[in-house]
Amino acid sequence: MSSLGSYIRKDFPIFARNRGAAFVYLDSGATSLKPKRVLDAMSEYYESYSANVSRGVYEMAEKATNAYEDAREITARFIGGESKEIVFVRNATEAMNLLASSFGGLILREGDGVLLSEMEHHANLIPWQQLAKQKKCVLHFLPFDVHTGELEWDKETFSSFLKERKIKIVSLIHSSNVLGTINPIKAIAQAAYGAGAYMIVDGAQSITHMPIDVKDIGADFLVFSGHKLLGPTGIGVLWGKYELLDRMQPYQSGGEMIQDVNLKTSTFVDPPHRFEAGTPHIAGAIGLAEAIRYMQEIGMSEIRAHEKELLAYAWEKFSGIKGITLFGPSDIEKRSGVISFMVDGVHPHDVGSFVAQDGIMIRVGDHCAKPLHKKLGITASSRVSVSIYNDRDDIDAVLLSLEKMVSVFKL
Amino acid sequence: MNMYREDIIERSRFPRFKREMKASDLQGEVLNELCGDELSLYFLFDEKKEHVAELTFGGQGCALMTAAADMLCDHLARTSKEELRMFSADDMMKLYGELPSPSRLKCVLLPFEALKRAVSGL
Repeated sequence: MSSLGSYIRKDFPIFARNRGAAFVYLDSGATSLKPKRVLDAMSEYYESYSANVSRGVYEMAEKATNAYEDAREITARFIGGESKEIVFVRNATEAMNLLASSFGGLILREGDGVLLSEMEHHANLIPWQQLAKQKKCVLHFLPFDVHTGELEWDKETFSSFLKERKIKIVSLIHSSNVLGTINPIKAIAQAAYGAGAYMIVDGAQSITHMPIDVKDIGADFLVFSGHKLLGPTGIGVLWGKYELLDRMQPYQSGGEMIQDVNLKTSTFVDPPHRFEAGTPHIAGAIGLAEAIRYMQEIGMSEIRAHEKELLAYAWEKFSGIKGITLFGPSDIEKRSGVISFMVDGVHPHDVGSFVAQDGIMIRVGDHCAKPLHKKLGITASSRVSVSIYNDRDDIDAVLLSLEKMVSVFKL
Repeated sequence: MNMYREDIIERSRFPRFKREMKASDLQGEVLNELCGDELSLYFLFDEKKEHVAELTFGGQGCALMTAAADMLCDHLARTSKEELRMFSADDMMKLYGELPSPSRLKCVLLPFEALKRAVSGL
């Protein structure tokens, strides 16, 4: 058995605070719980050295600047990138907006194509829709198989597929926040590279569940949010190849990102600071770095193994309930983090509210993936997502509650 | 709090007023952006066009919305147009009884929203 699950709940104050009542958190796909050391690292900044970064000449400001830049270094090493390639943003959504605006704006010409998939989170869809309108570009979509939950693409013909459609940017979700599918990003990135297209990876869901090395994946950009990674809300990461970041125009402008300013013209500093206008979320970056340290001490492979075991258990148990439809790959090797499902005869919002009465927290709705749900022929689904602090007892609790629901609804 | 009272479950499973009308005198449609569910209320008035002769609903939704819509149709059958106009959100909540958690109140009030839309066309 893994040393994770209930063994490490002591690291997360929220469990102790909610002792005495049922507290089964299976919504880490929406946001993860926070270990105490992350909160302590942030408090330490606010309580003992809460100066602004970059400009101060006094010791406390230097300490704050060092902590903020150390956070960048820790984040870079976590994904196999370089410090100067890490831009701190608010969240994955902001990173994707930045990319659509500053990178899409740089690369795309009228009539060019952008390739997404039908399983994208809205964060990797709407920014491109907005850009496509503005630049008169065309959006293309890789379909997915509703039965297997896997992307349908042909490795052999992919390069010509991209070239024929003048696709310059491929931007894909690494791991679906609904289907759980881990997409073959590395193979797609290789094929995209062969066709002269750039590859963006939305790692919001995958980053917390498995080891990710940007060099191994071969992507040009990777985005993710801190709050799904045991870190605080309001901090996110854009990683990009330096030579590409260096060609991009700022997304926002103002303080911190300028080199020289005259009344009518300005010049900008190099990346990553070029993309960090204004005072950044210093405490957020420090908290994120602490979360990353915490996860690295456990080991991302260990985390993946624990969650895989849990997903396999949940998949098998859920499959045994009459009237439940599960979505996405049945092969656990091909999935991470989430299991989405429908219960015949019960609306997902009723499923969510019913189990909530038993202290079980799951997600219901379209999970910011309306086109995906439309393809499945539904408007909403229920989703269980797991993290390092979950255990088989959590899965058992939701199963028991679902069985009770089936009886109350007389299905 | 028990959001799934016996009467709510029964109403949602066997709604008495769930049927679409092809030729209604008045209709009110709403969308619940929380879940993408749609609800329509259909009104038929009496000969004098003063009182509701028949009130039904259509669409797909959760148990709470279905039960609330069925209660509303039951309650407002044979009422006057004036009474339709006077019917308030408070009335809807009283009619429903013990309310669900705040995140689901919208589901209970959706039939009322459809009513409001409809009467704005009177």
